[in-house]
Amino acid sequence: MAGMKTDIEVLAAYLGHSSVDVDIDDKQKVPLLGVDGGFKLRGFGTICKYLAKQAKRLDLLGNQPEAQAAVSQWLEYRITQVDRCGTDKDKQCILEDINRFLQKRVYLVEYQPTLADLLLYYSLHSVMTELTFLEKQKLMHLSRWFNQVQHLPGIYQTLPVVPFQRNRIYGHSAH
Amino acid sequence: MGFGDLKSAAGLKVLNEFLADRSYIQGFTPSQADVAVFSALSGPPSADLCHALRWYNHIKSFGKATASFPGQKKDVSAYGPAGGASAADDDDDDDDDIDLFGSDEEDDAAAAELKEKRLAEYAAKKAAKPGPIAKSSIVLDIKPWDDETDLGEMEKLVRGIETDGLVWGASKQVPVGYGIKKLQIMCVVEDAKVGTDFLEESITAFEDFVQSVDVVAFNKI
Repeated sequence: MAGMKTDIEVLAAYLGHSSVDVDIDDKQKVPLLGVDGGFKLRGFGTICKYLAKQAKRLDLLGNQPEAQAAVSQWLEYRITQVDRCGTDKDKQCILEDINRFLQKRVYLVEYQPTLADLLLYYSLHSVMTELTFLEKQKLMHLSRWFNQVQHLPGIYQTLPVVPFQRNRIYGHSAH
Repeated sequence: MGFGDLKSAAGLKVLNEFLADRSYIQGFTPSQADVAVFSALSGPPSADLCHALRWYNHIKSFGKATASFPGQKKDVSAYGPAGGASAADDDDDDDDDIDLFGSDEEDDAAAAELKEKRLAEYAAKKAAKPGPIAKSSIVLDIKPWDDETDLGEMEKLVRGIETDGLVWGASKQVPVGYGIKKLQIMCVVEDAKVGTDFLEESITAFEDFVQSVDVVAFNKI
């Protein structure tokens, strides 16, 4: 919940918005964004897409309908699966799923960074900071993707950089 | 050092390994380095080199836009492990060189020879040294003819049996019935040298005293 609010603010800062009016509706735990015209937008995915369009960063949303749908799907995935998973075992499952998905891909959707990459990066940042080097080496594709996203211009300064190192101590038996 | 010959399987393997934790050849954005390596490949890498294939498809998706990647195109041998430590690179490649426990390249032939010699010496020493000797502890039951047989005499005779690998231990006299006692004696033998048949034969040789011999217990030590 607090995660959603800070993430929206960080995203807005990345996109170049000077200030955003974000609230959390306590009863339903849904973020609200105040927009011109007075009414409030509800929903994490909606708000993120709106901010991106407002900043004229349509590349972040995906070029074709399929890509756009995929971005929406990842935003939903983030809210329903990632943010809500409680136990460590769930977390590990999710990390492994994403790792497998990233085996063939540089970015989550198509060939360029999109909102999906950014928001999943924000969401997983706290988890990745706590992983040991061995675990990072086991989730090789996830680590590679994470390292790539965190070095993108504009993202690099916002959150502390998580170190990745391929350590030959662990060798090939680790994967 | 570079990747080696990128048209050969060995070179592709190096490329695959290199790209396991990287999205691009150099840095975090596509550059002319990627173009250089891409054009050095003759075709898409096979599916088992999953990192190389992933990178290949990604670069291919840019199509003509590859011409506008930043950077300066250098010869392919300038990129890759240890070769990519050129000018504008960030701390990516330093990670490759931190090999805390690995051994340095054996450039020196003399050093290699010395190592071989020492290995051979060690192996020879190991072979010469006898390994742990297998021993067993045997308990024998020696039965006399009747109750008048002198067990003390019998025991002296049995203990007189000496051979390499045989050590006699404690003994006791166990009553069997009707006044007859049998002699129970322990010994430790080395398996390779002494067996129970030898013991039985040599003991039953004392025909005047010994009626029969039995093995009660045989334990490996």
